[in-house]
Amino acid sequence: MLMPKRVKYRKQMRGRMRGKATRGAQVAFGEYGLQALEPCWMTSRQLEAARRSIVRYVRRGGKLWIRVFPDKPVTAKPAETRMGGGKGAVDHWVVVIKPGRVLFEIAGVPEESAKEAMRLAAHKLPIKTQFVHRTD
Amino acid sequence: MEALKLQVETRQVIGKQVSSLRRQGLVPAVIYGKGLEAKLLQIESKQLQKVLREAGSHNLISLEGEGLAQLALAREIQREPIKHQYVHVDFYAVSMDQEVTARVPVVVEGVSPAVRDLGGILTHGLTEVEIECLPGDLISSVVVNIDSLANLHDSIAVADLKLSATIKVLSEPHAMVVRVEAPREASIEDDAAAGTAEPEVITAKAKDKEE
Repeated sequence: MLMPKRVKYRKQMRGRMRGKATRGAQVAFGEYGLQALEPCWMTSRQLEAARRSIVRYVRRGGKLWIRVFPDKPVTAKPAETRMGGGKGAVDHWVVVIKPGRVLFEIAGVPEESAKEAMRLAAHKLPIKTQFVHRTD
Repeated sequence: MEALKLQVETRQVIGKQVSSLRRQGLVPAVIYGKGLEAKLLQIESKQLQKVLREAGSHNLISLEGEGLAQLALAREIQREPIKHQYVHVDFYAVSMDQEVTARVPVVVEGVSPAVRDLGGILTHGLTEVEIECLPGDLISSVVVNIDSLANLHDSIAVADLKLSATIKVLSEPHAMVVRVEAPREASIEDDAAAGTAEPEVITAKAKDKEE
């Protein structure tokens, strides 16, 4: 699953997810894309599941771009632990998604295939999404 | 190409108040150019959408209304990222005897034998080419014929584009426009195997060395 190779600090604060995405909000590399319509913390597991569903549907042919990278560590304390003892260990990695962000892009496949692949991928994600064209 | 006509009105509303204009179905705009004092404009959203869909930022638009008759290029088009509605448009007033720069979209034409017979994937590099010419010589698109792409990894660069002598291409000559890539079946297990280990912490390493 996607995660950074090296980081400056082991743990991060949570932060906020206000506003819309202004960067990465256009289809830049492929012909079609999947755009987020809601804010969320998208985990590397969710991204991987969506990627697999696209690859499985498209099979041979087509080129896929993942436009986001989970570089934010999320910590968790072990189950049935008493409070205190400091912040928990890093549990998983997420990417902060704002509405408008393009998550995946695809090229080299007919529009209908791209649409179906993105529909299947969208079912693996925790937010509402929309299918977008490069010309939009 | 003939300039498209667009009716505009002078705008009095400025600053944050322009959001009220958008609610009324109007889009705030501005026109500026060499020797022309900047003017604030407002345009009916539907009409603007229709004109900009055709003209983009590379075709001449004739702005008309309230004592204004000016040929212009849409220079900066701001759009809302989700619904793609127009938020604001900058028009650059052009004079027919002065060269202008514009970004012209690339249109792919034909069928590549490498894609048809060898199963290659056509990938796009530049989607727009930057050109410089007189406003009268502006073109609506740069047509790229891909019939010559017979083998995998063949590509067409900006230098290979055939344009009129009156047009100067400003984009990097080596920049790739289209390329046929070899088909590659992305492994379903691709990323799953790659690194489940802890990432290296840069600052922690530095502390350890000090100790």
